[in-house]
Amino acid sequence: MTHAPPLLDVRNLVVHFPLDADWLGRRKRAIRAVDGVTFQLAAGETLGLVGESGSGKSTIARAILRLVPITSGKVLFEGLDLATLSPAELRRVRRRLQVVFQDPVGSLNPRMTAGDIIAEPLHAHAILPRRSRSARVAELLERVGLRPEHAGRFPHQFSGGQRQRIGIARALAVNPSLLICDEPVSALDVSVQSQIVNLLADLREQQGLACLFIAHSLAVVRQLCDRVAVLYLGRIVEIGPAGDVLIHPRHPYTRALLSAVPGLSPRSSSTPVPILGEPPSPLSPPSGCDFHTRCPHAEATCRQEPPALRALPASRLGSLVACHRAEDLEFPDATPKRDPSASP
Amino acid sequence: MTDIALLSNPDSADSDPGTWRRVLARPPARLAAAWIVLVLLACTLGSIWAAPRHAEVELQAARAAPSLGEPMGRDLLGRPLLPRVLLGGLISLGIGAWAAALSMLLGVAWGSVAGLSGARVDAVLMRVVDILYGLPYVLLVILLRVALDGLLRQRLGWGHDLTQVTILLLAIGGVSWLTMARVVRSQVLSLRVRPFIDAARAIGLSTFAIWRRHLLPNMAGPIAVYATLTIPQAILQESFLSFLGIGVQPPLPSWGNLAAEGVSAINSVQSFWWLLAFPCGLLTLTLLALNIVGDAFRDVVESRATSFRPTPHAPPAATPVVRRAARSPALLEITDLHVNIWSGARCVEAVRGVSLDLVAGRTLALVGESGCGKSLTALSLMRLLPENTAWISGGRIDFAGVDLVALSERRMREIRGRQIAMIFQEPMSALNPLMSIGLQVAEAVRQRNGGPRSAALRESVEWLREVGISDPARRSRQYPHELSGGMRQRAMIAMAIAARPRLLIADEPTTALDPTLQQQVLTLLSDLQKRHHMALLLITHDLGVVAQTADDVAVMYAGRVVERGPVRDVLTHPRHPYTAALLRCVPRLDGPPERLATIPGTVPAVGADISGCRFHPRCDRVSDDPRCRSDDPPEEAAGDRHRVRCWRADS
Amino acid sequence: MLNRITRRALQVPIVLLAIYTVTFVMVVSVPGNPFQREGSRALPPMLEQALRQRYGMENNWTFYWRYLGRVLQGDLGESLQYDNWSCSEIIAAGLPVSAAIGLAAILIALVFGTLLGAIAALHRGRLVDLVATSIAVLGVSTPAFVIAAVLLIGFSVTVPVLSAGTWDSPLDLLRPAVALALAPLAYILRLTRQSMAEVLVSDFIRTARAKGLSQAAVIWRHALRNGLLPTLSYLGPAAAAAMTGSFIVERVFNVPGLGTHFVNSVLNRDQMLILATVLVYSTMLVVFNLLVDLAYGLIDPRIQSKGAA
Repeated sequence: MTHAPPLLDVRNLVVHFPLDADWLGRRKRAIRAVDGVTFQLAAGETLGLVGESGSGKSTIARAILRLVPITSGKVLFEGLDLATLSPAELRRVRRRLQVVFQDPVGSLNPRMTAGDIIAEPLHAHAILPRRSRSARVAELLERVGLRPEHAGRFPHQFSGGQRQRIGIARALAVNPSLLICDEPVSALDVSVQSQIVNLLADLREQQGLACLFIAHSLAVVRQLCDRVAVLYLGRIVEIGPAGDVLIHPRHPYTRALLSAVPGLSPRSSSTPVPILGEPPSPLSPPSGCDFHTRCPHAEATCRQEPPALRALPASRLGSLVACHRAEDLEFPDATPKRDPSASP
Repeated sequence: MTDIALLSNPDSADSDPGTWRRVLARPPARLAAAWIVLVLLACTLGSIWAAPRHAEVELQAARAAPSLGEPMGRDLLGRPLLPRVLLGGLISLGIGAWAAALSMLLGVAWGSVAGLSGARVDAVLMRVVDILYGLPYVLLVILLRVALDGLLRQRLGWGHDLTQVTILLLAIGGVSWLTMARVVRSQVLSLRVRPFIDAARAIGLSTFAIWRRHLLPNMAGPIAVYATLTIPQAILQESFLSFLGIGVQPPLPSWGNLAAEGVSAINSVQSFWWLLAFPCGLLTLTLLALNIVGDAFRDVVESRATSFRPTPHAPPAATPVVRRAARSPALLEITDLHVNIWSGARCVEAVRGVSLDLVAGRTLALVGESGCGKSLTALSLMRLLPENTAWISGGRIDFAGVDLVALSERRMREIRGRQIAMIFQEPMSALNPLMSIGLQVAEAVRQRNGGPRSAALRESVEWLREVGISDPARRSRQYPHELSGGMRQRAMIAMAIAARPRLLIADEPTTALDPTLQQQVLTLLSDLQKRHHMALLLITHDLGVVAQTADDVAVMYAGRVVERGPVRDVLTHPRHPYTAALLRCVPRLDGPPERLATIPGTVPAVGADISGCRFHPRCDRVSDDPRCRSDDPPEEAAGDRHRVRCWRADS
Repeated sequence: MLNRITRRALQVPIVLLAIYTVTFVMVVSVPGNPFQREGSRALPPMLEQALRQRYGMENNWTFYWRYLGRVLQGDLGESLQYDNWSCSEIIAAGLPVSAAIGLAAILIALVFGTLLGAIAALHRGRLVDLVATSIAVLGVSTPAFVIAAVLLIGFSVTVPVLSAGTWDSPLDLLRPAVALALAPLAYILRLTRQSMAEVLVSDFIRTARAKGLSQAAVIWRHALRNGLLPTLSYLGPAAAAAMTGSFIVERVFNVPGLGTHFVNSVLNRDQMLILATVLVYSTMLVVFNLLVDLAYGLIDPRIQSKGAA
């Protein structure tokens, strides 16, 4: 735990998407995509955001990047409140804050060469005179495992993994201090996924990058992240060190999520805990605790009062949970220890 | 990522330099383009000659028929027709082309602003378009024309002819931009949400820079397509207006008003065919040529799944039956299946001799990465390969003793949907959006045993209940878009098992779903399989799913099955280097974070030319044995029902 | 669903009012005196003032409101160029003919266009497809007056019974309607062919085939409805285009329709007749568009429900 101010400080972030304007332009309903999220990220640290569709994890990233408007709450980056910045100041801040997207096909302009794509941030922020830019592009290409001659090719001439590398090179071009990765490996094959995960780990060490890593694959998050936040319907239900949350979950949702991940050991002995029913609609979220409609341990309090995110008295390492029954519930270790004789 | 996606044309970037070459490669387009050039040259150059001559009235020679001196004869006032036609052509084509250019400019500007602005501005801009759309086109043009006339002639004192032409140009262009504005706006709206635009915004580019560098180049294709429609339209509009007498005014000629003179001449007893034939003929032929070139351009630019190429080979004759040793009779036995596809302009082999077998009541998982051919194999089982893009070029598929490859389409249809059923990856696109869920399931029921619709609908409600959809009666009346992703997938499963098939093929049924839903669907499939005693062929790329759900597994790489056998054997003691490497690559939840193992290189493209074993360029055991580089390894036994394709399987 | 219908229906009078206003502004801002024939002597101001008062056109403001009031009571005003004729009489004389030709043309275009387009999509690359595509290209490239002229000459010469210029039997309706129908037919043919071809390779058709349905059942029950949707939404613009084309066709065939009167009224600045005709045409178009929109909503359930999860 450092005492320096955090690199990224998100306080009570709320993002609502209005639907259905009537003919006067007044909004009637809204989707509560992010409903009061608070967390900090220190320099050099990697925080994973996990959750399923509708959990709001992508929206958080887009809100930090100012790609969607913030309904309420604060996002402080390097001490600056992003919402209060003028467009010129915001542009300067964007140099320090870059993003890698999920879709290797859609995240690159099909009409630009790889070199132009990577150089664009340099061009936009007027970094480096034009002559030096191609040298920098070549250097970046090599750093992500491609070759300088790839600079002249178009996206459709690359494979999915290679396109993702180009996206990473683009993000690194301006030397950001925070890299937001929005499901960067979800659309890739397994063998390519491991290459990109290793690449991200290496780059992070070399550059000392802080990273906000959004994924729905818990195993990938385990590999890359120092801390993990689990999201459900726009709120954090559990947050803490990755080793703690993913091995000793305290929240029923985290527990069910972990057991839903198909493990490699055939027909593992731990019986999976099925989550009953369908996720509730973000338009009409349940009363009290969001998860109570599907929670096998729900009680009366759970239906009435939303639980606050709090530290448990017995918890080590600063994990926080949002569950009324966190003290009572004892889960066996969610992930069985790996059997050394069984693995290849 | 299914390998079906690879079937689309890989080098189809719109409007690249090769496009025009491809357009002109087609004979009709070449001919049409030549005509256009000819007419343009004749009218432009000819007008220099024609300008002083076109208004010479000679009443005695009125209505003279074509002769050597006057190749197109003379008109009602004795003016020679040839110079009038040439000048008229220049004016008509000129007005049309420039009006089209103006309308595109206005349309792109208006549509871009509307698409990029907030909802309010967008609504206002498009309401204006809607209202202008509701006004009669003729009225708008006339009024614009009169207003501009007042402005240009009276205020600025322009000459009569130039004014006319300019006014008409501005009037037609000023009205035709409406549709272009709508097209551009919808393009902008759909491009705006693409991730690379988000990336550009995250970089910090201004809206104008994003429009210029990212949106405009990607709209160039559709805008060009629209231009090929707009230019002939504008020429047509000019001719309409001139015909009606409200366009180009005589004595200044245009093909439209010349046609009007020709038409008025018909109503008398004698036919003055030349007055009608020349202007009308030239106008029609030129418009025809422009449209042919436009059609060819659109075909080339938009060629995707709808491009048409006939299957080059007839399906192979049934190979003679080989009597197999009688073990537990396999329900499904695929022997040496080969499937070819079109990739660009080449014909390549995507499935190269796949052999599988599946016993009733068991689950076989077919696992592999993108491009390995697993989806194509599954579609081949159903004989549902996309026509004209992929076809079976060899092998047998024995299902309950019958070779499906050699079967007639009619008999295959009896098997499809009744004995073998299939569910697909994307339930939203795999269900008919215009039909209720209940009707779609009922359709499967009626396929099985006929009967009235009402009985089938009642049964379909039961099937929906069977797959775990709550409140099935109400849900059966709903449409696919009203259901969540998980429910849609369950509905598709209901549709498949309603036919009570003996074999269910599931092509990546959970890839598009969240982990918790994935678990529910997989549990459901296992339950249904046991309850209805089906065999299940599960296509997936997720090794975890294989471990949890399957009895047997077959691992595919680059069109071949490299290893197959019982799941427990293959996953704990993999013999093929690819299987072993793949298992090592999978990130684990247990244990501390560690550097992941990788397989160097990338999956080869479909049809790539690799000698010997397809995996050898990336294999970690390749160094010693020379056979790996030159010969394709055959399938060999490696344990009880465990088979491997590797020269070095024992190391 | 009801909500949507009422919402769309309520928009109709608003749109018509907007159209009226825009037209009015354009009509009165164009230079030229409605009371003065081109080229004749200028009217003495007293006479003009009296005329203006007679027609309720003293100034533009009163004209706007008074005319609006008259229209809402069913009175479309008087024509300035045709003395002693009220606009209603002129329109009543010409509109049925124009409307009949227009509707017949759209019907012909719709029926034959979709039929040919669907058949062409089902038999791609074969002779039928080639013929259909050729018809489409010809229909789009041949101006309506050329088709009309061909029909006029062709039928007068070869079948003297259907002589040009008379207007007695319903057969006289046919030639102008066919001339008008060819261009929209060509567009509908192309549109149908394209969208049917796309639908036939879509995922849900693959699912239907996987159920074991015969080709006929797949086409009839699944492909057609989805494939014809774009054509349905084209009907609105088709009607608008047919209107313009009708002016041409009426002139060639000497049809006593509304088109000629309209064109003349604009040229002569016959303000009330312009307003009357525009209102009539626009009402027809707007109502037609509304019906098309509603039909689309009936067929495509995705339009209606908003945000149901």
